[in-house]
Amino acid sequence: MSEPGTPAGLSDAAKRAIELVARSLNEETGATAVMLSGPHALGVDRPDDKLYFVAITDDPDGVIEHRFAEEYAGIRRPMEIGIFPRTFVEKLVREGYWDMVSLRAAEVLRIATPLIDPTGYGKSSAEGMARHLPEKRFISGKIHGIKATFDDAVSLYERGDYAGAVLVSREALRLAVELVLKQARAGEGDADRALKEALGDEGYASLLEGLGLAGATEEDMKLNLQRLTDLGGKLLKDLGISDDLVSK
Amino acid sequence: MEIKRQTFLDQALKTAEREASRSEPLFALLTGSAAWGTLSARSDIDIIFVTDRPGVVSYRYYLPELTGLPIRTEVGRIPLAYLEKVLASGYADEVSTGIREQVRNARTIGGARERAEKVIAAFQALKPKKKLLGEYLYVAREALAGARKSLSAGSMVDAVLQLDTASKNLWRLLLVAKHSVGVQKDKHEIKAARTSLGEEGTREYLISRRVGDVDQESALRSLQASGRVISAVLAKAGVNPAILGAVGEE
Repeated sequence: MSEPGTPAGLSDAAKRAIELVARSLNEETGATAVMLSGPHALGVDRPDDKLYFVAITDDPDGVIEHRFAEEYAGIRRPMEIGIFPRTFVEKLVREGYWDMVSLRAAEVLRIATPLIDPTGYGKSSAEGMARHLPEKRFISGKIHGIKATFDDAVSLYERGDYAGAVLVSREALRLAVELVLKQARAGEGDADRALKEALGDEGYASLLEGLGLAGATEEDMKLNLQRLTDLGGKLLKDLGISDDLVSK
Repeated sequence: MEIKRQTFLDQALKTAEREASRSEPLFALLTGSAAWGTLSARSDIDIIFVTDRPGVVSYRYYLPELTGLPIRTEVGRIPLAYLEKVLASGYADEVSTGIREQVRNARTIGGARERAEKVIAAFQALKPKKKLLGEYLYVAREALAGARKSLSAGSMVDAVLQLDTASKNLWRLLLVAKHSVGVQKDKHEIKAARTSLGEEGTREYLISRRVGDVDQESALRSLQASGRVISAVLAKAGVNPAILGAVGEE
């Protein structure tokens, strides 16, 4: 069994910062385990990436805490810290995720690597998540964006704002399409083919319907482009900005 | 399903009391749909404790599955110094943008009421940064160029997504420049357009955003189609689509 510690491939400065934060977090929360998550747990060390930590505690209330810090333990760097009670971790390992908060936590836990873990509980919890999320990755932030935007669309619909609902659901679709294209590594001009392959005929037809494109022709699109270019020119003129900026 | 506002308020006050026993805030705010909006089966309770202690921004989640509370509740703890920093320097990242929207739409539910009202008013008066203008213009121009390219390549979906991005950014540019209204989230854009652009302008806005006249039935069809696509995308990403929830349920 490997000992707790920072993953290989990280710079000495990152390792030192991670160890300091882990120690302070352990002292502050009296955690059963403190783990590193996010890109650094996967051995990716980019200077602009946030640091992500998980502390598992014995808090009996079952309340999950999520912190956003610009500085912690004297380390000045953006970080996010999840403080998960054992009851939550146990339910996640036993049953898997059930909503967006638990999905994000499950993903964070799945890739987490123990920093302070005297009982091995942190390591076994991370291993337990493999049943529910086979792949190690860090994409639930994007999924959260899609889900939150779609929820906004449904709320607008429920309030009777039908135009707003359609507009916002199209934005959710745009975010979903971005995720598909990223996963398919589709190149420029390749988007429609990649989407057809990823979604199948029925899914692609639903995409066209959701985007308000069902039955639209290339001519309609060209007209749309021209209208928007004209509108852009008009709006810019209104603001005293050269309309060349959109027409060329 | 009828959702009772009083049920939300009762739970919000109880949770705020419980959180205050951990550490008393300067004042407590209720935000989101539980504060002012229309409640739905998807609504939850969002509370913010503004504290006088320097430190980090944190959120505590009371999930029904773990805490026994009937409604999902989120309690944010935000240092007053952080809010003052956001007010002084504008907002830049995801966290401060979210907080700005929460505070400007909040109502006070405890603590120093006068101070709370002053903070809410300051956030409501916060003007968007003018540097947004260049960003909107740049994105709109790139998107229009991208749409032209996609159309030449016969990529209709890509073209329409680029066109939508262009029109969104052009209208946001206009809203900021002419009406000093900054829009961060899509759900606020249409409201800002209706409030600022007048009848004729709103009509032009809706047409160029490709929504025009939408009735309940066509909106539901559009939402259901979007829901099917998003479910398929989630499943493909190895995520259980059930987290999306159903659309159009009573």
